[in-house]
Amino acid sequence: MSTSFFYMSREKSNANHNIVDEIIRFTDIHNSQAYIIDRPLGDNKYTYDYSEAFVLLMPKFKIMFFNFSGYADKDFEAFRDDFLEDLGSIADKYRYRDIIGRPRSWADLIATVDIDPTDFNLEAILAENKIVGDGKQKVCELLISLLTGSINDIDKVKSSIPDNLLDKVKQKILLFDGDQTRFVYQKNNKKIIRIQGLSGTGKTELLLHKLKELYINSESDSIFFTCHNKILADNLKKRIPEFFNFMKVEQQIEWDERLWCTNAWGSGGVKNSGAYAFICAHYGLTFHSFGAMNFDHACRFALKQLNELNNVSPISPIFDYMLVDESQDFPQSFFDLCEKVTKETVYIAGDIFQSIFATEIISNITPDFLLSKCYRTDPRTLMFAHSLGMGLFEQQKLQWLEDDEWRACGYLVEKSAGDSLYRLKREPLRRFEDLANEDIKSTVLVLTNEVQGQDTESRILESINTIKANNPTVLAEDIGIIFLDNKNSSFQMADRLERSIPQHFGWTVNKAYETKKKIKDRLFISHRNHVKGLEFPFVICVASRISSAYGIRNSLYMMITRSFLQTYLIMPSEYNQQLYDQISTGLEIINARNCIEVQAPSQEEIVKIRTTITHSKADISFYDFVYQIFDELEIYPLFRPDLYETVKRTVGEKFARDNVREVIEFNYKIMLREQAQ
Amino acid sequence: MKRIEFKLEDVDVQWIFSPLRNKPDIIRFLMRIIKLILISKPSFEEIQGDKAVLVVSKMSRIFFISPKKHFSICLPFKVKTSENNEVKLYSKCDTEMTSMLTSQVLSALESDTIMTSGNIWDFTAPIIEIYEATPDFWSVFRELLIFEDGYIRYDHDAENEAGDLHPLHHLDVCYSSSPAFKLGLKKPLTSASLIDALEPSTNCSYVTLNF
Repeated sequence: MSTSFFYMSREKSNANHNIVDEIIRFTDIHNSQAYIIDRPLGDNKYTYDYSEAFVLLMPKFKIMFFNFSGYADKDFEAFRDDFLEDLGSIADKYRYRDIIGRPRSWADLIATVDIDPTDFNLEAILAENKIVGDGKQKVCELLISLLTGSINDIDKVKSSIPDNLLDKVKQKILLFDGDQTRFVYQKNNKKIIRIQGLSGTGKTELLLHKLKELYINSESDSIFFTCHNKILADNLKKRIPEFFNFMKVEQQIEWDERLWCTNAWGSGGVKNSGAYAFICAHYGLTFHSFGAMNFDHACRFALKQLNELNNVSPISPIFDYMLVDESQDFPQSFFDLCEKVTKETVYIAGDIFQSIFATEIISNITPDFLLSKCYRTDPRTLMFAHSLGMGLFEQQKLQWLEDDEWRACGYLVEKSAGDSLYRLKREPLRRFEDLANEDIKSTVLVLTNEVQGQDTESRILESINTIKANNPTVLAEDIGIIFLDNKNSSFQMADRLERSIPQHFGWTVNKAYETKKKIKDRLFISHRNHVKGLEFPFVICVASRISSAYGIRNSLYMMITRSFLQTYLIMPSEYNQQLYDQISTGLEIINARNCIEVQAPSQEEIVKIRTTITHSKADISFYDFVYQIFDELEIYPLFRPDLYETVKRTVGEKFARDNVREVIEFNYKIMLREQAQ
Repeated sequence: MKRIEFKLEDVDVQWIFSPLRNKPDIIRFLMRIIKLILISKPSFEEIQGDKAVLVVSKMSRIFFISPKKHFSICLPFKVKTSENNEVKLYSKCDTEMTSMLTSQVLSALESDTIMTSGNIWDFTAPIIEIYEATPDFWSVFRELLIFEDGYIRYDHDAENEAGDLHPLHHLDVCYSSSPAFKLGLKKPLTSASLIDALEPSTNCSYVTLNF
């Protein structure tokens, strides 16, 4: 079961568990998103006393208030009215009113469902509350985005329904999925929370949301946000105020007092220049400068010194929370150091696929949240990028994952021919649902041939021409040209394009490896080292010889997945004819059948190339957690509801297995004894 | 004296004749000019219209010629032409100036803080990062920081003409506001005269002072 389709902000209870299970089943079968909430997420000020109801949010369906009380109830009416009043004010806060109108204009998108939890028909309820018409559906999705805190830029969303594919995808309303929502809003007591996902799964965006949640939840908590790369840290530091403004955070950012955002190392003597520099300065540890040793050693020395200090007298943490992005760039010792100096939780986000192709083999990764859905890229583009990256269509495969690992990367695994033929599929994404009706190739392979006058420059210009012809509303900033090779010839080609693109199309270009930023109204040109975190509707990847080197394949995978509509892969026939023949057949199948069809490598080959990623199983609700223990202890069903309440009262909603078990066993004995009397 | 000309397209003229205000501007400009030289077809005959003229003698200079403006800066590189007439440029330390190297210089200058921060780390970090990948980078970058650019511009500027304070025809020597000064000219100056005036191997031009 996919955990990404469903989110519930409250616990399952005896009253609602039937309907909740039914909704989960529905989302799973129909690959559709659903949220069950009892208050608008994203702002703690909205709370209600009434607990016999919840609100079901599903794109394309009305906002449904489920009432479990079994009778027309004034308290329920009050809950619904208060909730809608708050929704109206949230819409106002984020300037949605211009697009969606006042609450009375979307009153017909709200429904009340009086439900008997033991006797209901979900399909019938949903059929009754289905919204017909793109315009109404859009308003409802905007309301869902407000209620789930997945705020969209209203200037981009616009009120009209676009008539072309490019603008449809650009203006699609983005909603957090279940996993993402849980990461942002779920409370936890763990010291380290790891979130892992492919590039494009929204890790950095989620960290920013988490940061906002942490920052506004307390007026005194101190938070350090860090990553390894200085440029990335500088970018993040610029993004935070923009993001806070966008999310209408009222508190001022108290830089270097409550909130820090720098790269991890920093420089000696400048306390606020890096996380490590700050820790060293605060505790009076020896600072080792960049170049003197590697970061792992520097962190180990710091930890050792901290432990020595701690032995003399216990040290107190300096931060309440730390957030670490791009965790694959760090040694474990840095996380240990972070944990040591943080009072509450260290949130660590990283990209599993970058680790897979790293030279060091990581045997075990156990994320708390595994984001398997890549929202940046059309699933077909992602499938092709994985296939090319891992050499799946080639004689000698470069990578092969175990079935669980394929699933961890968001694949549905089907096998046939004695398990030797794999069909790897990805679940469809809301963002790209409009693509299904269009005959658009997600990836286009283009060969160059100097001898026949089809040189790289002319092929690039041709590709831009095709994009322009097929997408009349395309802008310069919608296209990214990315060179695979970090060689002089690529730089020179970019210099040529800087001159020829304005001449042909009237667009100026931005060579991002020089400017180090994305510039509005300019066509983006860069090479493989400068594409992290970027996305474009169209990407033109330019390669020379595509070798089997992991670095090259990983870069290709990264480059190809920068597009959310279409990728052109341009390569010279001189070096790549054989590869072209192999991958074009695989690509045709991806385009036609929406799946990767691949012959599994032999056991011998697998042994050579296997890397293990394990991940902790998907999160379960506290209700399911306790009921699993009931099953283990074979508790009579009759006693379960009372026992469940007793556990909640005694332990709180903590996933502490031993404690919960002990409380159940103790109370169960008493209950049995009482029953016997 | 060797003379190589390059035709300028409209897209080039736009940025080439934009004002230069400081040394980083000059270095950026120079890098873009090198890129232009490396991707353009050189001509050893005289070109009509907007053009860049590379004059190689004891001291290499490059001139930019348009109907109303000509200007020139020193080119602190050795210029070599190959048998198939490709122009190649080398630094004093014999490092070949390539598209990649020029982009690396541009990226270093683009760093927000390299020229402004009070923290030495902000200056050294981007340089060390590039230096690690391209060890020749530092010697070239250092040369660029300390080279004397010898900026001089002929202007025919009717819009801003203001008697002897801003003569219709004048030479602007230097580009940043403190050292910059004008030399008024009684009549238009051709590009050939400007090139000749700055050529060390030909006779000097005289300035007649009116006081």
